[in-house]
Amino acid sequence: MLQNYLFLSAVIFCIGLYGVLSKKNAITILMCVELMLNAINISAVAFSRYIINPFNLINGNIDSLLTGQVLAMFVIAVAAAEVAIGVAILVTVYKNRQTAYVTEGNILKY
Amino acid sequence: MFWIIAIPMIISSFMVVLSTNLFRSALFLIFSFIGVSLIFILLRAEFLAIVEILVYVGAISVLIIFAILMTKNIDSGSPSNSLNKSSLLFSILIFMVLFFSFSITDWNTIDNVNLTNADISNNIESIKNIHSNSIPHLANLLLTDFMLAFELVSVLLIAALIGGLYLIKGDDPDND
Repeated sequence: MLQNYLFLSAVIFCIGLYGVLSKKNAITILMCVELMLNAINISAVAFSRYIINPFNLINGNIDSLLTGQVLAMFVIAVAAAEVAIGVAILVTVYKNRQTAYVTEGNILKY
Repeated sequence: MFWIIAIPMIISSFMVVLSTNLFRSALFLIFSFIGVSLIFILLRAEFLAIVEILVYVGAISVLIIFAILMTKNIDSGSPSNSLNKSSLLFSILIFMVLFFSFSITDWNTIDNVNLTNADISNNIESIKNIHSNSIPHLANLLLTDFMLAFELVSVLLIAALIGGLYLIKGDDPDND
């Protein structure tokens, strides 16, 4: 049932959104971004499992039914790059300022 | 079967946000990744399930645990900033919008779409069977239609590798 997967994806996306918007620690924000990307992956794979667009199938190109899985693979690769860069920035900031809180990294504020 | 996987996944995702110990929330994040992988198996995407286990559980969570262990005050968790209430309201609002739009949309699912077109009805069996043997089709799609994006992702990974090394290296006072 497609709606169940979309419901699960929406729940996890909103939990991740709440964490990203409301937490101070940069590591928690990174973890919540991972949750949001996983929710997107779930919905992409569910669409590629259940949805058929007949206009794409006229030429007999049935491979295009799996486009959602390819999208999920790209999202996984981008998420790996993103978390590597995020952890590197976090460690650099922590070396300079001895804090991992994003609210205390405001030296450009005034 | 779906709800057996989905309900612990939702609970562990909540615990990632609500736990007072950062290390525990990373462990709950690993549980959530394993749940996503099981959901992929339910959706007949076995290759993606293995990739999910390899990349997320094997690499990303280890990186996050490294980052947690390199910083202090793990036990204090992650306190909320001043936007706590409004961000809770905002995410609930987004959830309502998503839920209603998912509920009222009439999806072209594989069961209720009209597949009686003459061109399509020849290979309707292969359409229904594509998910039981998906890896060759996935490889074909990745190396023909999405060739450029595939190469760009490899360039992105190299750039992330070099950028991460450069950021971590820091200033070497002997080398200036």
